[in-house]
Amino acid sequence: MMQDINIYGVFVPAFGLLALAACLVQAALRRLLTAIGFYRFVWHPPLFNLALYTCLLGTAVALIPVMPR
Amino acid sequence: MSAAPGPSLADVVFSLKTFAAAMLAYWIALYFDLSRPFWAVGTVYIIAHPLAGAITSKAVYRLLGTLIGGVMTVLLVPNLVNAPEWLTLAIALWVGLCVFVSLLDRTPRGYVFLLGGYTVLLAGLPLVNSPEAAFDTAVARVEEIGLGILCGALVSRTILPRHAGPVLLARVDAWLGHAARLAGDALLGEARPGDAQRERRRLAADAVDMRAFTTHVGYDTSRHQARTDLLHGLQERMILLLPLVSAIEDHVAGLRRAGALAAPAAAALREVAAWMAADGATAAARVRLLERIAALEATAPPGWEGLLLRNLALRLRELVALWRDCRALRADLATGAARRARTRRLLAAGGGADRHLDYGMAALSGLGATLAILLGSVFWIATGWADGVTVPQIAGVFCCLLAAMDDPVPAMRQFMLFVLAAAAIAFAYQFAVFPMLDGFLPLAAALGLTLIPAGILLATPARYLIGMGLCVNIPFMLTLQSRLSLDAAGFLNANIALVLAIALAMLTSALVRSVGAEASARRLLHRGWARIAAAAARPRPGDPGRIQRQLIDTLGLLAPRLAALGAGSQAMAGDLLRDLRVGLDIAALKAVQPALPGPAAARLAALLARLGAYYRDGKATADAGLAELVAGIDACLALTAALPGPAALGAGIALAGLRQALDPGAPAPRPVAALAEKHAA
Repeated sequence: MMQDINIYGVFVPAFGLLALAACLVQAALRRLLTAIGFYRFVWHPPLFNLALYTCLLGTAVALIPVMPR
Repeated sequence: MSAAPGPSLADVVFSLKTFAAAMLAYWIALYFDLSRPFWAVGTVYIIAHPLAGAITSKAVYRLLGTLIGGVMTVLLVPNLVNAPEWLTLAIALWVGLCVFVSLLDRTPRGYVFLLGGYTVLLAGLPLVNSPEAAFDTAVARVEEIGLGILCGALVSRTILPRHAGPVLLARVDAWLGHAARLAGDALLGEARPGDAQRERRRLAADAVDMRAFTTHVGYDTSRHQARTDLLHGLQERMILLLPLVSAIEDHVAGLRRAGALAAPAAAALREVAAWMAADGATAAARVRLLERIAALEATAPPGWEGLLLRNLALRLRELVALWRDCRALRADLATGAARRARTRRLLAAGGGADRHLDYGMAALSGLGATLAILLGSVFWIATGWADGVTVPQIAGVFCCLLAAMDDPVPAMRQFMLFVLAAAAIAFAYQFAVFPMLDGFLPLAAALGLTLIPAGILLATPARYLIGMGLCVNIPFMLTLQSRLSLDAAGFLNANIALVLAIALAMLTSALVRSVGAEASARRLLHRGWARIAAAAARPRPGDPGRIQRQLIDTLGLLAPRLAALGAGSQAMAGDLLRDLRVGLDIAALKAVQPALPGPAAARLAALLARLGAYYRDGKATADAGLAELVAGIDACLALTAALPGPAALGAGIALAGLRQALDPGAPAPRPVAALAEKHAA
């Protein structure tokens, strides 16, 4: 079901890499949103962050064709 | 607590002892060929504590909790073998329940329930796949944890034991010193506002710290039982000191502003401060002091300033009595037995505290743990990753261990770093050092190279988390066995799962219950106000000690939160202390109300009703009602000033106290002053 990517002989699941990448992107976005004061309009920031992360990961999986669909 | 400049000899000895205990446990486990020796080694480090008594209490709690958990595993697993979903749900709910109960307990005893919870999680969850091993796993865990506990307790108590007694006395002395300085500042009116706030908060935080410490002391040795009682008594009195000092400060400031702090009063204040600071004060000095205060009271002029002065004298007398109690308790603590008649009477009089229980917060914490386990299990099953079982397990354990914190996320983030460091060290050991070793002694020596320095960190409270992160994780990560296994994939899998587990615990904690100290403090504050409102609304006078105990308990909980807050919230600490005094004055007014004639009593009842409404509506929304309230108090003051008799005087004193507590900055009331002039004429 999951494709593995070969990094110098270590097989890493593609989904894991995408999850890690989404994590980094989300961290950058969160910093940006904090800087412009976006979180003042958010009721429960941790919930918002989780939703944001889910969206990012979903987008990555849909756009990057390493996952067989 | 400030960080020590360097490790002391005692810390090094503690680390060596702990390491010896861990290696003893490891050797015994290997000798009897137990299946997971690292559980025993890790346990020694988990229960490690510099004080002998604390180890024993932790060991007893851990053993008891593990037993409960083992029984629960054996009960749950075979009955739900055929329904893995239900088994997972049952385990998650059981852990949530355990967290809930342990938070309601609010003492170190809560550890029993936590352990009962996560033993099921650690021993039971892997069995969702292979239920036939249920009994063996549960027994192995109870055995090895029991072994670790026995070794840890044995070594700490037999080799160079460090008893709680001297440590305790040093702490109590430091505590009394703080209190004397705080009171001295208030008496002499020398404190700058910021200083007093900080001192007061530290004192309250000390009191909370002491409460946890007392539970451990009880386990030191049975003959120290009297010591536990003495500590409880001392603690109660130390907290009583806080509102008293705050009241004295406000009254001195009020008198000074009115220009009514005459020379004899100032001299009396100085004398009290000197008496408190002096070490070997005699009974004669105290009697002279009390005479001085009585003289102050006798010469009090009529009118508002007189009321303030009488009030001040009353508080000073209470302060002297309280400090005398503290001294007596301290002296008996040094000998370890309640010898003096005074302390015995004090201990008998102390009632059980009405503890503040936050059911909502405890339930949320339990829900957080349940959620983490369920999400982790879904992840484990959905990915089909064999090592994934660590994710729900460790996430659940983290939710349990940090359940008592307001906001566990920063602590978890910090812990994550130490886990990564421990993983790097364990990696080096596993693949670079271990292959070159043969035999138990070289292995122990190699482990000692890191575990002994890391154990020193464990001895200082400020670095406890670092030491814990290294010492407990390294044995678990190495999965110390009888035979070496060079399995890089297994090692990586296990550690990635561990990191994911901490991330999951952070996620659910942030989602469900990361409220922060600010919100938690506000919750407690509102709770305190509700109690004052209830006291004002109660028809009969009731027990004044009860509201005092309730509010002081709330204050004790509030103190560490306030200590964690920034400078912006300093006003809040002063506020709750003043509110506490309002509660006490309400109790005093209720007590004298029946003795007053009809119209004055009715007026007083109306005032109390308005006061109750003021607190019920959430004081914070607006201090709009404050001016009206003060005007109401002034009207009552005018009424009582015109009446003769001790009841009216008592009501006047309580009203003046109430006014000072509600609005310390208000100018002297005019009606009373006018009345006093008429009186004088």
